[in-house]
Amino acid sequence: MKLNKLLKAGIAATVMVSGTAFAQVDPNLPTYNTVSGVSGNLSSIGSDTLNNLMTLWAEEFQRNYPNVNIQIQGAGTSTAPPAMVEGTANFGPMSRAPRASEQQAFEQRHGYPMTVLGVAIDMVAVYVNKDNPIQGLSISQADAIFSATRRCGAPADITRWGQVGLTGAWANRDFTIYSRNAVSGTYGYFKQHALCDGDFKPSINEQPGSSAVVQGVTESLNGIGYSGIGYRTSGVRVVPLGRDGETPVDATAENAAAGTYPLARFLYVAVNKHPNRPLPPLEREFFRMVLSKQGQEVVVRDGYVPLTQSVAQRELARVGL
Amino acid sequence: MPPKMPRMNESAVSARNLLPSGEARKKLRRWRHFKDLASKHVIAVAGVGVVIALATIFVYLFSEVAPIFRGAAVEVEEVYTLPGTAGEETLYLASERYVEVAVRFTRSGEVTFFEPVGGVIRSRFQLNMPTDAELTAFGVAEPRTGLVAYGFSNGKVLVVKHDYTLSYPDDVRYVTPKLEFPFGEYPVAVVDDGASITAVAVQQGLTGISLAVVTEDRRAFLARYTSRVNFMTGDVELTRVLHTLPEPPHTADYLHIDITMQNLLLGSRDGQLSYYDISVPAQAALRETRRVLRADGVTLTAFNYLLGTVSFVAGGSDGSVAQWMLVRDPDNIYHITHVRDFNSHSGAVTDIKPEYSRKGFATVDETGELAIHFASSARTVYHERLLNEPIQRVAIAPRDDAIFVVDEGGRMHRSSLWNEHPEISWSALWGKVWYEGRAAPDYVWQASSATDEFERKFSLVPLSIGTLKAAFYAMLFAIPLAIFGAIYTAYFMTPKMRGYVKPTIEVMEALPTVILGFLAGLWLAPFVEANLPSVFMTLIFLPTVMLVVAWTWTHLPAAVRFIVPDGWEAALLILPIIGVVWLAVELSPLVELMFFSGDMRQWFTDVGITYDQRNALVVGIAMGFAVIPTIFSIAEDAIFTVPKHLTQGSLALGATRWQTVTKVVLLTASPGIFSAVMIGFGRAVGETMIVLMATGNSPVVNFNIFEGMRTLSANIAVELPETAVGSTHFRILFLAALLLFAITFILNTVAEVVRQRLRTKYSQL
Repeated sequence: MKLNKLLKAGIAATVMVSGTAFAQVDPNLPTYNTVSGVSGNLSSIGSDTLNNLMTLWAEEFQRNYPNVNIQIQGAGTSTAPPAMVEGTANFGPMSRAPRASEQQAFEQRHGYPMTVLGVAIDMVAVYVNKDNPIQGLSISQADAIFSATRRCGAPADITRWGQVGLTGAWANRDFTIYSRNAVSGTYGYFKQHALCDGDFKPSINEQPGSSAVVQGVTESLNGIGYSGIGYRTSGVRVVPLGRDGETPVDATAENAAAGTYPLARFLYVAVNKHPNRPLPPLEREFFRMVLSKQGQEVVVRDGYVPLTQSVAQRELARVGL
Repeated sequence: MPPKMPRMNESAVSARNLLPSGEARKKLRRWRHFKDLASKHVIAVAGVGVVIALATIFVYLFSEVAPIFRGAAVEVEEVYTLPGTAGEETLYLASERYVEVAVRFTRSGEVTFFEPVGGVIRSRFQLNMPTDAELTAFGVAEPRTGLVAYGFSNGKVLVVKHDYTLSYPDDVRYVTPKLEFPFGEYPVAVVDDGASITAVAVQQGLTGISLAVVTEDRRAFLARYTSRVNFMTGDVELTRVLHTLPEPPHTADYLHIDITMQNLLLGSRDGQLSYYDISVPAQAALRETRRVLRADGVTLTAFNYLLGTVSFVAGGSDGSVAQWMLVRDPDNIYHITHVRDFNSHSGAVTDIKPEYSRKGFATVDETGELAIHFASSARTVYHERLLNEPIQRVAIAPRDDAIFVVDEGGRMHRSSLWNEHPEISWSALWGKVWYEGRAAPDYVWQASSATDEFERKFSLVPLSIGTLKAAFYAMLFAIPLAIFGAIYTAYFMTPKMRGYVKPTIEVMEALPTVILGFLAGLWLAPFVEANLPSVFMTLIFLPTVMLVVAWTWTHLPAAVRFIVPDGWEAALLILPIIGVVWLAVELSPLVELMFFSGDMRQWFTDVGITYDQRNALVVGIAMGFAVIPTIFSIAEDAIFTVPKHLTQGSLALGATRWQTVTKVVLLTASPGIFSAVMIGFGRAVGETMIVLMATGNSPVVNFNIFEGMRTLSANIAVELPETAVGSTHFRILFLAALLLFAITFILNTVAEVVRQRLRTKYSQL
């Protein structure tokens, strides 16, 4: 709870500073300088939302340290904690905070919880086909479209586009719903924040990756799906979203900062850090690079929102840097 | 083979010379004997090895699954008098997650932190209880928040939070307990006129802390607090918004707010429960009052929310334990609804405590019994008489590894607890389960979420139905094509053409299924959706046109027919087939315009048929392609190896070729064809990649060809990487694997038995 609140404040602070000039890297962020003595294997297992970002960071990292071997797997956030527990990866990118049970499994093996650093800001976007004229959705409408439980309070199940205000040929079109599968952190996040912890409809099409969701929506006229904002393509439209009783707003950094876009979140990277010992050089330099000016420029290039200097500093302080 | 053999055309004299000597023959015999023996043993070892390998897989799967059928185990490890002032009533007992420190709240406002192992005191605090008033109410928030509230006879409430910090001196974990006071260290006034509080509820949600109180003169209030620390003075500034609730219809002995701050539950000892809708506090309304005990003359002796504060448990003086929740009816009105009963206690239930990360809970009674239940699986996993005296309080450790029981004499019974897999029961796996927040019981597979309070739904019904559905539609597509193809190829085709056709189809087997799935999902599924009429036209007109072409051919003048040699007629069909498919695609928009008002996909929706792009039709076609080579190849071999004397005998007796096929060849080959079909079915049941990629893996429970499915194998592939090793979810996936193994095992056994019987029957022909 406390962590969540802090992060929300962090998102607001970060984007408010960078907000006016959308997706600009905070000029106060430190420039990354190469140090000596870094080599070894950089292996990462986890989030699919962060997959491209991790790859870009790793490439940037390898430019600085050519004898570092890189291996990146991105099946889904839930694959990160088991990999961290078993020690099969040194980084675990996650698109949601770890569950208590996941921390428990880690503690049972290592004696202390794993450390999780915020590395970028994402907005979970609801995508529709590019020909869909929908103007916007409220969270309870999205809940009624995606869920079988309607815990956000919608009065009735929504099964036709006409029920959310579309007319003409669209009025009686039904939904083809695309979703990530249960391994995904985005799946868990969407369930928690857009479905108010309810259940998805059994008829959702679970896709193995974010790009598969976007691809599915591109191919279905009546399609609707959700994924990180970094996966936006020309074949889909991002639907403006709003809390109940508010006007739906676009998924932009400004709206995330103002708190009007309801589905803004942090993206994390988990690492195994002993509470009394410093991070090994490779992990230390990777985080310093990620939370530097160069690292956050990569975030912008991949379509996400960068962190500000103060937030980056706070995150680095978590691992004693 | 011996190295030298006497040549047949030589004379006896030279043969005698060439015959190996007695010594050499003996040697050869020994060599032959050795080879005989060696091959016998190698083959035996290999055969037994296969059986052992299979058995090991089975044993391994079973050993991974077995723990889920164990109940819970409780073992008392230590009994001691609770630390702190002895003889005082313990209002609340809790432990932090490592079970290194526990906390005890007493009636006099003493808070004692102690080590549960050994009962050594870590620290003691005395809360600032008012001197002019007495304690009249006590409330506990969701256990994870650590909040408790003391309510007094002067209308004031004291809110305390127990919290723990971790440090690692000398690399060893050390837990330091502390007390926090969200509203300050002294009681705050909730009821301004100082009326005595009879019940208090506290809850922390995303929006802050809420308090609800009921006074002696039966007024109910809801207070929402936001607190701010003054940086100049360090004082806590509290903003309180007080709402007066409608008058309670009965006395209040139990009062609870849910974590979403939408519902307030108010229960009385005589069994009445009222529910207020407080989502908009200014318009709070009393929605319903009903009795939550089913037997007459019984009183409500314990009442608590389960984790997530969605459903609640009522314990009666008759020992009854029942789960209730608010269920929405079709008009969007929530009703207090009975969900399920658990094993009854022998005496009045005295305390109910929920688990911290699952939907389980512990109950204790006045006869000394302890029971541990689990909501979704409707299971009482543990139920024993622990003591011979009444139990006053119970507490479960956050990680479900220890349980504390306090008896009337204030003695603490610390027990270890093993309760790893309470979520599983026969009814949870195979029956309809009434999950929290649902209007009715249902079969649901939804195993994970981002939070721990999520109720995991492990019904194997949607997965098993999905597996059978995928296999059924694949076979529907594959069997006719493969079997008829096999009959024609083996019996009517010229050997030369067969030499091309058979290997070509068999090479299809080598096509990676992931490619098939990829094509089906990304190309075929959208194509089928956009050209629905063409699919149906192809299905109808392809066989029709083939028959028409065949009939026309037989009626052409002999001169024309002799152009094509016997057995090559099938090649003639290639052009008509391509033509029909091309025409179907070309005419598709026209047909849509004429019969389906321009859009057949939409027409389905309008007439009420659910259509999903990634559906069983697409999977049937894709998976059909994957099993056709298997079925075709085995069936063709079976038909081709029908002894020639049978077919020739039949033809010689005057039967036509068609009669020979249907009356002689098919019957003789039927064991082979049957096993071909069964092996194909087994392959379709176990196939993973095609279903994984071509469907949406939607766990629906129906056989609609236009909707998707989620199969057992695809489900294992999707979810196994995310599960913690040894968790219930992990073991259920192994159970799914065991089930899959059992299905294919049974299918293959049945296939083999039937094949043997058919073979003995038709071998007399």
